[in-house]
Amino acid sequence: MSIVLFEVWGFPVYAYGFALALSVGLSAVLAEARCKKQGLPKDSGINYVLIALPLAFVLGRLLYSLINLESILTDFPLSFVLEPWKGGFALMGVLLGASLALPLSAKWSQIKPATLADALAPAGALLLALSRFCEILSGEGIGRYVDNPSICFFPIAVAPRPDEWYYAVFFWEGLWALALAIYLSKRRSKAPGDKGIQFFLLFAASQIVFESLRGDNYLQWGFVRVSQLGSLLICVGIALFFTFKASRQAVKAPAFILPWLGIFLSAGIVILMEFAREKAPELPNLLVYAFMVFAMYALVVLVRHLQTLAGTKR
Amino acid sequence: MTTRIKWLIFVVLLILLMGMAPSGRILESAYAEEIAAIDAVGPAVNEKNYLSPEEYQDSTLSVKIKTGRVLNHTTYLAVYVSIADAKQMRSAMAERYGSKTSTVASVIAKRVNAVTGMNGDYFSMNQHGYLVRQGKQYRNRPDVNYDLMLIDAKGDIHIIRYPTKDAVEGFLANHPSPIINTFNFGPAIIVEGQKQTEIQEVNNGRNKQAQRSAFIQTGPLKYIMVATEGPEDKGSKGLTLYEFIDFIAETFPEAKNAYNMDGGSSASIVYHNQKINSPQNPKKRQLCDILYFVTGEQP
Repeated sequence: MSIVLFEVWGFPVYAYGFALALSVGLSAVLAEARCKKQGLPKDSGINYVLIALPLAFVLGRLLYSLINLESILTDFPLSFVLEPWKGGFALMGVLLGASLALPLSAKWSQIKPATLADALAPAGALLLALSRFCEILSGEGIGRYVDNPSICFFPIAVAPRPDEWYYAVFFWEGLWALALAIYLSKRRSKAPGDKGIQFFLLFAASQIVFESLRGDNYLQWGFVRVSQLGSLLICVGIALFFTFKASRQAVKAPAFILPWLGIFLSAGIVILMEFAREKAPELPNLLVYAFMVFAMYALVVLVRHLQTLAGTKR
Repeated sequence: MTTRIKWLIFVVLLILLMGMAPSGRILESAYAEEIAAIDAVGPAVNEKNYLSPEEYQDSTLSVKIKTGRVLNHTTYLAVYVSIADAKQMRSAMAERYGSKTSTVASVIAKRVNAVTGMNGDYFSMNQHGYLVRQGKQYRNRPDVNYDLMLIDAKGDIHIIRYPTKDAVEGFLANHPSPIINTFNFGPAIIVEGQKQTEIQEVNNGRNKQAQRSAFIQTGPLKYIMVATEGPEDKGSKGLTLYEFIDFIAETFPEAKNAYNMDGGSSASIVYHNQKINSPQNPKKRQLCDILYFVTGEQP
């Protein structure tokens, strides 16, 4: 249930929106601080935020509306798309907006987008973490019902109602993103864009698993969860980028065969496990998700191998 | 643009964000049109009224459970319910409308103090239907492929076959009692005492031997909830939809209206906070909604 914190001239301000705004504010301050620390031109951080915030907002809303158009038109007129205060945003759309803002703000600040991405990556991961933690304020981010009493305790599960426990997926996602933020802040980037790429790779690989765990508000195209598909495309896109870069450095084609076979196999395992989860519920969930996690770990390792071939890995 | 102005613009954007991003999903308040809201949670149940695993009795609610065999190869369970007031028949969702959250029927039943109940139509898995729950209209998109069951404020069920918007509007215009709950699954089994033989050509597994469930009204404030077992249950083969319709018509000749509900693993009848159909099958599918009965006695 979404909690109304207060009203301004009759307009409700929800706890989620309030907390999200605070999270964006905190992350923006961190972003500016890191840009300064990296020796980037003044206002590089705030320049990015001023472009990214509205772009991410609009694209998040648009993508949500596009994916859910059929159900939206079932319940609302088309003008609903222009009424974001009624709720409904897609994370992939937000990420797309944030990504598109990079080259635009880099041009404004007169720096390279890759350099800017490296400076912003830890703040981006922090914002992701905080926004995940905020989800519980709108009753989102929970997984399936937990019927095993021995694991009915936080942080494994949360009880939005007395004696009804559901997996606390939002918390695990937030923790992972927080760990990612710390990792990225400590990692040295010798090649421009390295931290930015690592952010997207590690976020996307983990999101494929986390999205599968969600039991509430996930976006679907047919039977495919949009965030899983988008995350897989991000991973494959990064792999393609490194492959292309490596091939330009005269790495021969046979060197790519095994890694790409592995990438397809990893993707195939995830797809198979998703089907197994739906069609073979007698399979232990622990086994299904163990395979998924292993497949995503393998995928990350393989993409990093391609990065090595491209000669950009530290 | 100076740094100060940039941060000022940023603060303004943050303030706008507070109001413009209330949730990642559509707010419940965005869904409109309340017809006649009724509280979903029933009064607390006096445990002494559970006379046995097959019977519940108080001054407002009577529940009797019977089992039997169909075609000598499948077990069925029938729950006979009699209530004193139509408000004792209700529906509940696993989570608010718009959420895909599901949970087992017994959990929902316990939450709302249901004495007994059954699975609904799993509306969160599709976009069609004229959907009303506890007096609140959520959807107005009837689909001819899914017969519509309407439950009015007097507790009477009405079935519209091959529903269109015109058909639904025509019914509502001529029906004095407000509609409290609707279900969009079907097909209709019995309509005003007439057995139905035509089934829509949709993905309803009509030729597959499976678990089935149905909701029946036999008279004013008198109902039967029925569930048959399936091939996953020891000692049962399951019924095709045609066999199920024949079974309902023959076994419950007193039925005025009967409606097929979601079957397969979703077929769930709960009593005393436990799923009681298919007892040998440990599988408990998580559902998005139930139809249930509460006591009218105040604690």
